[in-house]
Amino acid sequence: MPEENITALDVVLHQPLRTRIVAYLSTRGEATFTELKQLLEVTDGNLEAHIKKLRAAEYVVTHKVKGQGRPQTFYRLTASGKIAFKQYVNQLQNLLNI
Amino acid sequence: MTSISVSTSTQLDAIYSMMEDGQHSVKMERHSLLIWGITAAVLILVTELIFNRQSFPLLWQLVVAQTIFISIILFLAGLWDFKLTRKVRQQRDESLSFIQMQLTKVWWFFVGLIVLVNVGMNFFGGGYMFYGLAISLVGMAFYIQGLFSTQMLKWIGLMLIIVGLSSVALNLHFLVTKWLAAGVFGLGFPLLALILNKPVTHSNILKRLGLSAVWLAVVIFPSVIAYQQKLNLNPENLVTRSFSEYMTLNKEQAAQKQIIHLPAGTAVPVNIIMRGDILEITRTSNVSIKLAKDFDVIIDNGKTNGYFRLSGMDWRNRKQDLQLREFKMESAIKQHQGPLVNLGFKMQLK
Repeated sequence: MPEENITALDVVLHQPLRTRIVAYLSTRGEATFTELKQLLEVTDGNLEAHIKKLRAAEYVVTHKVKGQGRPQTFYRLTASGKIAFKQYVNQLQNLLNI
Repeated sequence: MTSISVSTSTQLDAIYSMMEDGQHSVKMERHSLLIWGITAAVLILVTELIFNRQSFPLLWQLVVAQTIFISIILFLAGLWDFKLTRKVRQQRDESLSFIQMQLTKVWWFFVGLIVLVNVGMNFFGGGYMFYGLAISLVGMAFYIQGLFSTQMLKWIGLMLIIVGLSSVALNLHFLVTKWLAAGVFGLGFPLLALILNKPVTHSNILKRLGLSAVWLAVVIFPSVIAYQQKLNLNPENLVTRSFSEYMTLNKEQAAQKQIIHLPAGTAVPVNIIMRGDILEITRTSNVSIKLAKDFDVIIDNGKTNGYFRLSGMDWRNRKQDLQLREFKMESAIKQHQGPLVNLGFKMQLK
C-alpha cells in the first residue's frame, strides 16, 4: 500500500529543494531569485535548474518588473502549482497517517 | 520502508518550516523607523507652536488647519518611506510580499485613527490622553506587523503599548506625555532602527529586558527634563501683592508682571455663559466660588497668564493642570416650582 502511494507522488515536487521552493511561495505569495537563493543557501545554477523544472511543469510562473535599476524577476505559484502542492502535502500526510 | 518514512516526515518538516518562513517574511526597514520617528517627533513639537488659539481664534478653524497640516506631512512621510522601501528592495533584488502590502494599509489605518482621535479630542476633550493613546496605537500596529515577521516587532509593540497606557493610567501631566511621545518617536525609533536587525534582538529574555530598560531610560529622559522645567517655573523674582494692594496701583505699576495673592475664603464671582441648540444664550453672574486654599496668580500686562499656585505647592498651568470632570445634569419639574435643572462638575488639579 505505501509503495503505491510513493509511486503516486508528484515527481516534480518530491525533491527536497523544489518542495521547499513551492512551500515558501505558497505562503509568501511571490519572491525574487535573490530571496530564494539566500533562504535556501544554494548556488545560482542549482536554483536555476530547479526553477526551470517547476516552470516546465507549469507550477511556477515568472514576471518581470522594470524599475529604475535592473528589472526584477518575481516567481510565484500558478493555480495548478497550488493544487499540486496541496495534493502532495495530503499524500505525505496520508503516508504518515497524520 | 523506514528510510521512506523518515524522508517523508523530513519532507513534511521542511514544508512546514518553509511555510512558516513565508508567513514571517515581512521586514521593517531601518529607514522607515527613522522617517516615521523623526516626522512624528517634529509634528509633536512644532504643531502647537504654529497652530494655536492666537493664530486661529476659532476652534474649528484651528482644528481644520492643524488636521490638514498633519495629514499632508504624514502623507509625504508615507510616500517617501514607500518609495525608499521600493528602491532599497529593488537594489537588494527583494520583493514586497502580499502580506507586507496589506500591513502597509493597516499602518495607514492606525495613522488615520490617530489623526481622527486628535480631531475628536479637540472638540470633545480628553486631550490629556492623546499622546498616551497615540503611542499605544502605534504599538498595536507594531505588534500586528510583528505577527508576520521574525524581527522583534511584537516586543517593540508591547513596549510601546505599555508605555502609552501607563502614561494614561498614571494620569501624567500633558507636558510630560508630550515630551514622552517626542522621546519615544524622535529618540526611541532611531535607536530601534540601530538594533532592529542585530542578532542580539533574538537572544534571551534577560538581554532583551536589559536592552528595553536602556531604551526606556533614553525615551523617558526628555519627559523628565520637561517635568523638571515645569517645576522650575517658580518666578521668585516677581513682587507678590495682595489684591487690595493691586487695586491701589497706578496703570503702569498694574501692567507689570507680578504675583497677586488671594487668601483662602476669597469669593470669586463666576460669569457663566450657556448656549446650545435648545437654549437661548444665557448669561448669569449670580454665582461665586469661594477659594478653599490660599491662591497665587501671575498677572502680566493686567491679565492672568494662566499660571497659579496653591499654598505650599508648585506653580501650575490652568490649561494643563486643571480639569473639569464628572459633569452632571439632572432635570426635574416640580409641581410648585416648575422646571428645574441641576448642573454640577468637579474642578480638580491633575
